[in-house]
Amino acid sequence: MLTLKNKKIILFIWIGLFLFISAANTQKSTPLKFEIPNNWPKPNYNFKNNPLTEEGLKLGRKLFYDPILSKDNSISCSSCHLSFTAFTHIDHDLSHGIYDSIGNRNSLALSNLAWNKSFMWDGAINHLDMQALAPINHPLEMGESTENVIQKLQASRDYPVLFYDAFGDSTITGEYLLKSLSQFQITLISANSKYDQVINKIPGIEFTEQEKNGYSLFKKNCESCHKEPLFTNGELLNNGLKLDSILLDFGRMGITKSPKDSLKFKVPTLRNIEFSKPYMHDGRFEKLSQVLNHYTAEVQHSQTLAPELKKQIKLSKNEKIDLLAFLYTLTDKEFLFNQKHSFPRN
Amino acid sequence: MKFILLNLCLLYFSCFGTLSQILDSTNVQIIIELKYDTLSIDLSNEKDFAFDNLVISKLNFYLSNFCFTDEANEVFCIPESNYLIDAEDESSLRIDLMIPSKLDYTNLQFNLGIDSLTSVSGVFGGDLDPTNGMYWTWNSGYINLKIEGFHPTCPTRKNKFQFHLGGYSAPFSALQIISVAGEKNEKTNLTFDLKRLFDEIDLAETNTIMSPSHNSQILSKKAVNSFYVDTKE
Repeated sequence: MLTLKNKKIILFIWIGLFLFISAANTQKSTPLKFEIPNNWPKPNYNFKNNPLTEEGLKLGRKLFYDPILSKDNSISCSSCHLSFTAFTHIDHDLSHGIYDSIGNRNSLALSNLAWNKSFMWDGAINHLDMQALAPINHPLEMGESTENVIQKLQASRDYPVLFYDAFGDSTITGEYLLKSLSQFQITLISANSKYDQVINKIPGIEFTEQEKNGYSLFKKNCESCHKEPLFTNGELLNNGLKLDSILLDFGRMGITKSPKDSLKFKVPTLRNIEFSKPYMHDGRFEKLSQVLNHYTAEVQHSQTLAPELKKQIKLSKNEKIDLLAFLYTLTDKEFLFNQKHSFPRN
Repeated sequence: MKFILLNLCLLYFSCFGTLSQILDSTNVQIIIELKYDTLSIDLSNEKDFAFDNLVISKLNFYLSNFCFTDEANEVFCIPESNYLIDAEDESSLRIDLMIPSKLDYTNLQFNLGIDSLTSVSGVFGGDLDPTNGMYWTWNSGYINLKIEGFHPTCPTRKNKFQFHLGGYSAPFSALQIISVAGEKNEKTNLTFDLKRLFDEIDLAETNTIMSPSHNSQILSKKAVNSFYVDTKE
């Protein structure tokens, strides 16, 4: 009979069950929302496999700045990817790793990685989660083994707790290491440069005449490969650079072994280009003016040259100045100096 | 009283409804036997396998996407069944799979390697963790089959041969789908006979494969015939 006493008993049974199930499923980590900038396309990164949390982000950030990832504890991710300089390594054409070893490529500027289709200059890495394996295990970069890194982290004072907070498990695995690094890197979003503010019609922010003219020139000559808003189409293309006779770097062909991929490299983003010199996969150009000069006068034609470059790009001296002025509007000071991205102090 | 009983029954069924599902399933254990002809390959406790002049020091491979098929080609597949078989780890040689009790099957089907979808979907844990020594750090992708050892005919440093066979995307997809005859059985002995593969390799010519390539594909295909279900008990 549905007496008041019976109803109460039933209610308690259901509440008890609910509490039991909740307790069994305590989620110790705090979810974070991934903010997609206004009018941007959907990111490629699959958050379902690695949901963003405060604890995961905190752990990933600490790891990113920790030289424990390297063989002699001297090189961290930030050694080649410094926050103030667009998360790249300026003034170095080729990056250097442990024991002053020099690699064979320039370090890429890290931003907006959730939209990447592939990683590294030759697209060798197909997913952000797997990228860290490359520098950690490369003898000229961090010179370590992932297995060894995990042992070092497990033996440390602080990391087991941080891993527990992020993943509910104090036993550190390759999966957790890589997922936490992804979580930090995915938050490096650069979308608030002067260009973005003009596009989003922020009151009071307008292009100068030079910048406006530069933007038109950009759309006419550069847009097809350096597509807005990411300022890259993410493709692997041959942009007509002469082969370096010492490095003999054939780009994508090194991975696919196909002659069709000879001299193809990933189109990098132009965001924060003002602060990411030197330029190209081997850092051969110190100045942006040299880059423009390459595109107007030095493109090497070959079977695999990007179709977009088959016709010569013509820019007068003044047009080059205007184009540079526009490129400087891609500098996002908020991104470069964001304390949440820089070396963690706690 | 009846009302309380009714609620408790609902509780019981919502909590334990799955129990009936479980009772309808049965466990099939696949026991992997690593052999060289009739000899057992056991690399646990830092042993090597030696026979004639051949030494095997490492033998690992991935088996995945297990399916049970019958004459009418109906299949029951087990999603996300990815297993790393390691000759140094005895516990990796037993695979437990739950199948519907009523399922009748004549063939066991599985992949040698990890499929392309899994290979592009980011990092996973357990057997798929990239720190198991079966994942390339410089180029995304799993090593489907890893065999290392020594033979005097190898013109290499220390006479070593190293086969790291992998590749998940065209034109170098090395994944192999294998189907072996195997009657319904609680315990199924799946044998991998390395001699069948090595009979097809001239180690003097072919001894080093370390990346996705045409050679990796050729050797991976040859490995298919090394698998069979051992029916003698």
